Amino acid sequence: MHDTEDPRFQRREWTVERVWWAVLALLVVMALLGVFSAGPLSETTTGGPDAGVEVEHERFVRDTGKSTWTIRVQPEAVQNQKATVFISDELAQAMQIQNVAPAPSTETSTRAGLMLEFDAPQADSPPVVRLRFRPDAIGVREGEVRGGDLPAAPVWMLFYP
Amino acid sequence: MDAVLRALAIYVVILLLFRLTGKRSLLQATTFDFVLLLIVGEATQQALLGDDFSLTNAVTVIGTLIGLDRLADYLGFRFPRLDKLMESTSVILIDDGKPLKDRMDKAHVNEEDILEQARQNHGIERMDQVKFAVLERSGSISVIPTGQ
Repeated sequence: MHDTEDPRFQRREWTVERVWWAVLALLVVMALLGVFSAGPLSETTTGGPDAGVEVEHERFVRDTGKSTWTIRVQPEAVQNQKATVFISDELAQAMQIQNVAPAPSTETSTRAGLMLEFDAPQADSPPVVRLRFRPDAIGVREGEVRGGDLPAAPVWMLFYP
Repeated sequence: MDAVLRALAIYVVILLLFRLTGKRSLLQATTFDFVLLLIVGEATQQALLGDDFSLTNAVTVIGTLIGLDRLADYLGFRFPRLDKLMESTSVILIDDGKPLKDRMDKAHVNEEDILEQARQNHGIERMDQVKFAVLERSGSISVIPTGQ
């Protein structure tokens, strides 16, 4: 009966097991905090009064998952009752855009990136754009979002597989 | 975050469903029960993964479920009352050769179920060869033959 035992091996296995449980618990806590997408550590805002837009987005997204940007156009970025939002190509390429609300009046895609133009009849209350997309990339993507001709808001995102 | 909360919700719901349904709910895995189990899995899938087809999401959900199971196991070990709540207790159905009819009725186990186990595991033919039969927490029936 005792020949089937290997106490040293078993003790080691128990140790490894306990280390793994700690790692597993840590992973779940990290997921709760948003390291692997939605959560407090992931949510961030870039741009603001100095830039043409303020972009609320998730730092960490998952390829083929889903994510939403909230783009607040600054009043200074509205010209001739039009508000333009420009998303640089590095980012635009990594986003399968599923829905933009309100709908842009024109959309132009160039090598530099994606240009969306919105009607803005009231200059003092410029549009707030919600852009829903399926992330379509793996790795880090850095780019910028611009409102009108004003300075751009830098965006940094990590796409998990 | 949502993946962890989703996994937690499904874990609790499934735990409650199977616990309340009773021990023997899916134990006698007939072909039908097996298919039923597959359908349960299929129905759970959408709620678990949502609209997110990424590898990271799948790993997060699996990790959370396994972690929760481990945690539940530990809590059961640490707090026996909780263990009883989650895993139930065993029930003696035949006590020293005497069938306890009321218990068997309550657990929906008949003599044929016990004999089936006895045949499979001990080659027993008749009821009087069974000294003890216990409905275990898992829903299986343990049989101890007479003369042991």
